[in-house]
Amino acid sequence: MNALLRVTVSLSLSGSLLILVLLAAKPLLRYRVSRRWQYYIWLLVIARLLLPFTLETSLMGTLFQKSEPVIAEAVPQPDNDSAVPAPPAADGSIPVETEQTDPDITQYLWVIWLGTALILFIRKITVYQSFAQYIRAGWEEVSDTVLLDRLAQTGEQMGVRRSVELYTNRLISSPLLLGILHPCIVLPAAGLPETDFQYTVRHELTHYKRRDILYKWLVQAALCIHWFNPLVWLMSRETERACELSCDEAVIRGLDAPGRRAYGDTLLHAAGAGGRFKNSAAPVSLSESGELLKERLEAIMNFKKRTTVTVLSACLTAVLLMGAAAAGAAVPSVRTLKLPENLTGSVTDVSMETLEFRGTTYYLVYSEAQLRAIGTGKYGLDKNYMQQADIRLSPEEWVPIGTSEHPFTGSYNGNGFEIIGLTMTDPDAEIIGLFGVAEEADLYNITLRDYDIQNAGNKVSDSIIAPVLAQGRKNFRYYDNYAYPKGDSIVSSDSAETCYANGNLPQFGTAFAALGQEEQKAFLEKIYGDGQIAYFSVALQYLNADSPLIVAFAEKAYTDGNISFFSVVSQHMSQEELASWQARAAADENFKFQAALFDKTGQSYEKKILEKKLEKESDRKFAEEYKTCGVTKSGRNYYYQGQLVNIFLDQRSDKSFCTLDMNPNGTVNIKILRDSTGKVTGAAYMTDAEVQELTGDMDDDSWDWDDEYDWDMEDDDWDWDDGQLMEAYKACGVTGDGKNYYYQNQLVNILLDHQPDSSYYRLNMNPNGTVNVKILRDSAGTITGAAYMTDAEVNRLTGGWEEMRTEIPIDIAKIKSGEPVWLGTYTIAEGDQVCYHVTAETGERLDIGFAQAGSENTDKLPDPVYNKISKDRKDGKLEVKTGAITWRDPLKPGEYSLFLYTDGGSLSNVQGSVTLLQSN
Amino acid sequence: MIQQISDSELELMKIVWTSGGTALYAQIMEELSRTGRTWQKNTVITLLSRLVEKGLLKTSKIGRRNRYTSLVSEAEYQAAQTQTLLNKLYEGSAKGLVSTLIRQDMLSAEDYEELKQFWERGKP
Repeated sequence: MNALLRVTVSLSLSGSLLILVLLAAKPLLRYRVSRRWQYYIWLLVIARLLLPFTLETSLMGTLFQKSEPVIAEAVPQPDNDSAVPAPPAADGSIPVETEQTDPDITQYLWVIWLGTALILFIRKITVYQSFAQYIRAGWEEVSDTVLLDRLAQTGEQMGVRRSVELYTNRLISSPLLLGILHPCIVLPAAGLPETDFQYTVRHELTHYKRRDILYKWLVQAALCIHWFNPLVWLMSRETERACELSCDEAVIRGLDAPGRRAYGDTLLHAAGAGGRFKNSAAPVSLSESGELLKERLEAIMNFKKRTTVTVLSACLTAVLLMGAAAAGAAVPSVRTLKLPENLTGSVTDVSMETLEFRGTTYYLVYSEAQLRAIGTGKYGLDKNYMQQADIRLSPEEWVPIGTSEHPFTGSYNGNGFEIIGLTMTDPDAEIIGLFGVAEEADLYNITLRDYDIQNAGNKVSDSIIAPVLAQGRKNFRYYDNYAYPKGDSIVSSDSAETCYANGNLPQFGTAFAALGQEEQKAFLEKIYGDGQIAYFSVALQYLNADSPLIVAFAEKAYTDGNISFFSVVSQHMSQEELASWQARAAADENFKFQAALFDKTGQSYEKKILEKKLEKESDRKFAEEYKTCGVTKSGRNYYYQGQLVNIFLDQRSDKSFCTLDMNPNGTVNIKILRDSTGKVTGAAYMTDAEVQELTGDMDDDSWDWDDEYDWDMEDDDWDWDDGQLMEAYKACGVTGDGKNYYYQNQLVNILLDHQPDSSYYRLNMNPNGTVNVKILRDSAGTITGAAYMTDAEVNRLTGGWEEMRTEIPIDIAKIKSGEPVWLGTYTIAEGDQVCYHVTAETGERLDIGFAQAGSENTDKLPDPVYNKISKDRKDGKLEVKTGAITWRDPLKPGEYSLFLYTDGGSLSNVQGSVTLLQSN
Repeated sequence: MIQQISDSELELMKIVWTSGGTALYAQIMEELSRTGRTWQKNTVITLLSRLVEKGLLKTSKIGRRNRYTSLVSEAEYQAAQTQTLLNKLYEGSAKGLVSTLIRQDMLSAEDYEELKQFWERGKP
């Protein structure tokens, strides 16, 4: 029963919020919105107080969810030992010490509440009854047909169909209305002046017409239930005032100024007449206090005609309605409301987060309690569930989800997470499995580990038993589900070969792990040859971390230029290994791999710079080539024989593009001719057929020009939080619409915003801009301001780094094998770049790199070394030539010494340079 | 004991009595307008329902129409009213009433003779 009290308290709290809002808004609204609205808006509050409906996530639901353990602790549940135990205080709340609260009092709190509510309500009724009796005993019928006719006429004008009785009772102080089915107007005296009679009757008929008595009883009901809430008492008083005021408003709406004055007079007269019975306790019509009367008269004086629904009141209603819904209630799941035996104490209802995706709601399952809640309450058997974590189940008997009568019809996505330790031992169980019966359901990606169900259902001859789903009926989809029983952890009856052949990917891993190294190597080669990247990826996971196969296959994928396999292998590399591969890719000018490695090390900033540089570099190279055949480039425009080019096509013999440029203002279509070795031989006008072919191609999108990497710096993948970002920029003086940015009234050329880890929030370039601006962020990533970029920063960003380099010339006659040669110590900061270009006349292998300052010696290479590049003689040449390698985490800034080294025979005539590119 | 009714209620009762003890609402309204009464519909309904409440009429529905039937005949009503009058004014003495009627010439000589014969005939 405490559950009921809990719901009531939550309703009370959320109703209180609304009451406070309305009370606070009262002075603002008094003369702005109609009295009618001010009256009826309270109905919303009353509904909130009386109706325990709630949204899935509501303020109260959350609040009470949070305080759940506290309540559960404070309210011991004696006959509840079989129920799910109260969830541990996983959310960090500290359970109340049980000793501090007397369990007997808290347990019977609801009795006090309900008892008081009932007594109050009964009292309200008896008081009303005795009042009505008193009035009836002393009343006299008005038999004057003139008055009756007036009443009837007024009723007709107001659209009151029913005949209303008219009585007088000299004992009452003011006119009142009694009864709903048989409405009676009771006047203190019959001898009222005609106008007073008219208005009094009008006022009372208005009450009748609007069923104000019902309204009042609703308020009384709320008051009785929420007797402990002083705000509800306040509300009761407010509604009474609002009732009279809105009634007055309705009466005077149809009156002119003298009429309104006369109505005010009537109110005054009525108050002055005075009877003996002060009717304050019962909810009858006109109980007056001087204060209220004053307010009513004031309202009449200030009356202004309003349209029935003003925009303001409509908006306010909507806001309050949403508020009412959002405030919600802590309603226990439907199950606990339905089954009375559960009502006695089951306050441990579980809640699940939801995820909206493409119009479908997924309930997120993180815990055992949530998993066990599927099929109860609002977590119906027809909902969609998505597992979000490995779940280790307690040994408590599992109850399969879905029965013959009520099959599971929703979806469950195990998401690759495991459910560990599912246990069923009931020998009488007929259906045994995680899911019992499913129909038109989706079950996928479910992994059961260490399940124990083999003894369940022993006594039942035809029990249905299967770990994931015992019985699937029509139209269910079941795939990618795996089950591993308790005890035989890594048992795969199938060999790796069989698994591979049968497409049994999960078992393949364990089978593969059982193979010897040579077998593994052979197998990996086979997978590699087949291009089965998924199996490759699984197989690598089952290799020992130090397996030489990882290095071997990295080498193989690198040599083959197989970037996707390489990226799989690279997942098994340490940061140091990645750094050295990066250096090697840089050395080989293998930008594709370098870019992929930047991705791997999270260096998106470097990747972008690299790409920008690559673009610049290739543009420059191509432009030079084109010049030789009479095509000049100016800005983004190409010119051929003085004409602006429309389509500019430069295609290799293998049909891959070097350049494809389209300029709608151009007049001629030009193609570059290349021979089979890729050398430019000339330029020519394109034939119509060629143009057709090209543009036709483009229409069906069959070519992918720059899909490999995004050359475009204004890439859209950081546009997702544009609105927020723009707001944040605005706060530090940068305004913009995503394309153009302005800072201190100047159009921005470069806008740079990157995180401390150098990944971008935004990098925007606008050729028309005049200033370069960067957004400043603190280490937590919070925007702290904006500033102009220094020239150095701009240079670094745009690749104009030549001007800032430190060149270390190298000219060494001989380097002995095994003896490093040291070329000085340099201070290197994070983000600095290094560029090697060294050749040797003789010798087979050349190493170049850095070591920590102070670790120099001449008889062997120190450990560790950084950004080391090793090159073997190739095509008769021994040369190390790299692009810029960025010095960054895990390479700490500091003093480093440059070395040259060989272990493949002496080097002679070593020449070249090492360039340090420093940011400041 | 027949309850006291107002004059307007009596008007309605008379209409019911003259139409043979039962009358439809529409008939009552018709009769009222014929005798120059212009009461409002709801006034009439209120009066009729008061009569029902006081036990002089009962109401029944014929289709959607209301039919009122008198539960008290005109004679019964008159007797009851006279009894009330007697009790109120003459402390139950009919003699006093009759002498007042004769003294005030409210009862003519012929009427008196007629009454006398009526009395002689009916005497046991």
